[in-house]
Amino acid sequence: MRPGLKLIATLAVVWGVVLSSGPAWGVVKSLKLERLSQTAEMIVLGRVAGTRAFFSQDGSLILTEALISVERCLKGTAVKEIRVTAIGGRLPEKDVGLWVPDEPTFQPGESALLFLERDSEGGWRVSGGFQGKFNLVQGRDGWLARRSDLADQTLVQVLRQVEGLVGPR
Amino acid sequence: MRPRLNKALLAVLSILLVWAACLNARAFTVHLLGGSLLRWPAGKAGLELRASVPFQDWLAAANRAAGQWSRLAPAAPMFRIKAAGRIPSPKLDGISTLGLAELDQSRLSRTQVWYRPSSGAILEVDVRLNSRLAWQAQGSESARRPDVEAVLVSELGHCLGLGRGSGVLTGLWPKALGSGEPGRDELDGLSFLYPSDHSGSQRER
Repeated sequence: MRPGLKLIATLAVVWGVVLSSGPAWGVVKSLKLERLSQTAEMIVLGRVAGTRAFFSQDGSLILTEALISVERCLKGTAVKEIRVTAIGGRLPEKDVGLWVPDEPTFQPGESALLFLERDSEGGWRVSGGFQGKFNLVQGRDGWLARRSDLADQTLVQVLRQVEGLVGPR
Repeated sequence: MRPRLNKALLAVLSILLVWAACLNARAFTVHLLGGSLLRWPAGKAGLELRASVPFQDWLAAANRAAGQWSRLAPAAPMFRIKAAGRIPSPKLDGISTLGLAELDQSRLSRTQVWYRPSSGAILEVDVRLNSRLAWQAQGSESARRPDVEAVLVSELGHCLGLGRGSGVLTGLWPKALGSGEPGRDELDGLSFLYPSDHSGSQRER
């Protein structure tokens, strides 16, 4: 084999190894958009109007309740506002916070596409941990739907997929 | 013609190699809380994790998972897994624990990291594996049964302050399960969180 080709082959192998080496970070089951759309009781596009963190009744957890101003409802009963609860949050006045890595977090003012299900208290929570929340960010050619484990997609694409799965309203 | 093609291919592959290396170097995430990093305070050389698990091989798996982190980054605090008959339920009580809990079917495990927002200092961690799932602790990965060690490697990484990553570090099972060993991304993350001169926050209590 010619020296140049040998070098190319070596580089290709090294590159493949570098790209394929990924450690395990498995804590929630992977859910595809199809499954999320099927299992979610409600799917909404909205903006986080505000958040409130508090200790759970038994004092064992900090919960964060996000008030979502609904701009569009793709599945479920149409509402103008919905309260979504996630485990984790921080209470600066007590100087204590709880971080649960696989739970979604909410920031006032951010927009998101949310796949929601009922929690044990009858309230709403995000389906599949962080997987049920796509943050909306302004891209060069419009809004993008972003989730850390996926490549960015345009919001239009994602909405089209979801509507295709749950049917038009 | 041919040498030119080879040179062009070589150049493209070199660029891809450099890009891949750079991509990996950025693939860890840490948490910045009002300018403070979420991490264990200085002086915490050993972190005791009281473990209540059903089988001896689970304890061995937990020790192997802890050992992977201490081998990777000796400057980071080391976990000491201590077998305990009973452990308190996860809450802020100053005791870090590892055990089983009934979680919903979509989760393999849950880690709770308690911290001080003012300094980012981690106070304690509680890790729970889902008791409703069938586990294995032999160190071999299967798409049907999650492995105790592989999942604990992930959870103990969170316990040190590492967040979910992007790209290959997705936080999902079984999509992202590989060898179960932390690698360069995590080493970069821990070196960032716990540099050799890590002095921690002065405000932690």
